[in-house]
Amino acid sequence: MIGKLIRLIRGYLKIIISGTEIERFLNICSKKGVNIWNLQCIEGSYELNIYLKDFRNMKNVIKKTYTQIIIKERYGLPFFLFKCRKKKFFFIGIALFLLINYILSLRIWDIELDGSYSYTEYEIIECLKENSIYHGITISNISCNDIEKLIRNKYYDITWVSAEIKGTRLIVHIKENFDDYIVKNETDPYDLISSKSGTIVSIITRAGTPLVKPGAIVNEGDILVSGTIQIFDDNLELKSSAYVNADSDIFIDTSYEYSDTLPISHIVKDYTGKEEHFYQAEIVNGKISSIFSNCNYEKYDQIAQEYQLKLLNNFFLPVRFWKITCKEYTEHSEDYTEEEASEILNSRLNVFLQNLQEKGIQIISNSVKIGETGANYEMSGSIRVIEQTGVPSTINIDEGNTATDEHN
Amino acid sequence: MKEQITNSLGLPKDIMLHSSILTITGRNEAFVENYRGIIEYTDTVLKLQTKTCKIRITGKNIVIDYFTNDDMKIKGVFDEIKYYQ
Repeated sequence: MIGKLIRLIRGYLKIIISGTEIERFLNICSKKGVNIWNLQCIEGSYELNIYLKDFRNMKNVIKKTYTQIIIKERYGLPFFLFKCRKKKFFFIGIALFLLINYILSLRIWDIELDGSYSYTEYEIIECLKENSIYHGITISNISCNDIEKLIRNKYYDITWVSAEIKGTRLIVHIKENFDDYIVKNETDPYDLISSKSGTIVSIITRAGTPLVKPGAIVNEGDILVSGTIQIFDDNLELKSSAYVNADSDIFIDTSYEYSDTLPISHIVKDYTGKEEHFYQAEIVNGKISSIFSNCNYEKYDQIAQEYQLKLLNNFFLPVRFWKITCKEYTEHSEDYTEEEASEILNSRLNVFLQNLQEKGIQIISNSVKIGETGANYEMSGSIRVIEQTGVPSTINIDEGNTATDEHN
Repeated sequence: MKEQITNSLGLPKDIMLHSSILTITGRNEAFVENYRGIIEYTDTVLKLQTKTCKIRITGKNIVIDYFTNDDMKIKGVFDEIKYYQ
């Protein structure tokens, strides 16, 4: 295969030779190191393949051995280039295409975000843009480590970031923390305070002094685990105080108030089935709209589909298209029945409960009920849950000292 | 003398004595090394000159797949391979 490719690149001829001194011709060829292959005798004449360059050097041998030569076929790149000698612009075009592709491949044309739930792609991309990481930036100017640090520092609840460059794409992988609270990485000692009112279910303390026991009723802001450790001497007199970062797993039985309303009367869209399309394109960072860029309908929905040009899976180009579809509709007012309203409000409640569960909150019961109030259906009630609590609150050392003095 | 030395030292004869090597695969393929030249070639017969003797290959549709100054690959349907002076 490689041999065939080399032959095609070098260019070769299939020739027919005839004469009385063919063997002599062949022997001279082999002595001169001329490559000959596929030599076969066909009805008194000989057919063989020879490289173009060797053939040019064989003129003397041909004369010396009285050999007649007919060129049967020509193969390879030199003959192709000779054929195309008048198509200069075709080759210039190919060269330009390759050059432009090379230049485009040096920049980032697509930024993708993966694994983000609470932050939108737009938000993170805007944040990157503020820090000079935008569509069209040179790849050599990007440091993935810097991007990772930047995102981690800006969004405290993003716990893990990994940035990678694939082709002309910058892919940022993110993992968010779904826990209810984040332990701040503070150097100053702190207490853990309650983020909600409720009853303590369990408390396991690793550092600090627990101030509550399971079953204790606490209010929001109460200190649950103190970061102050008091050290007493043999006479049970306070000798000194040490300050630590309180660390504890505290679970509290608490409740969430839930309320949701749904207007009885609502607008229903009747789509007429008429549609209009127009296109928008963005080349590098400039937008071009098609001439018919406005819809003539009185009321319509706009749906945009984005396409980005790419050569390969990861070789995105700075050309984007939007196909914008306008769907005409007319409006009429309609009332929800009780069943419909119940279904909608319950599905919203389920989403709310699901979000709580994703945060690791255990749902004990809910007393949410649906009622009709004037022009709305209203769903309200409380949801009893067990969740983790304990928010760091920095200790004011002076206050701590004052307290010690009072104790003395 | 040269042959004796080569034999006693166990040296390769193709290098020391320029003996030709003929490798035949089945009936359709032959590989010749250390030949000196082509004496005659048609689609039914190929005569080669080596340093010590001549080789005649007869058969049908004999094709020289490639040849260089030292070696040659032959294809075809072989009937007879003969060494002669």
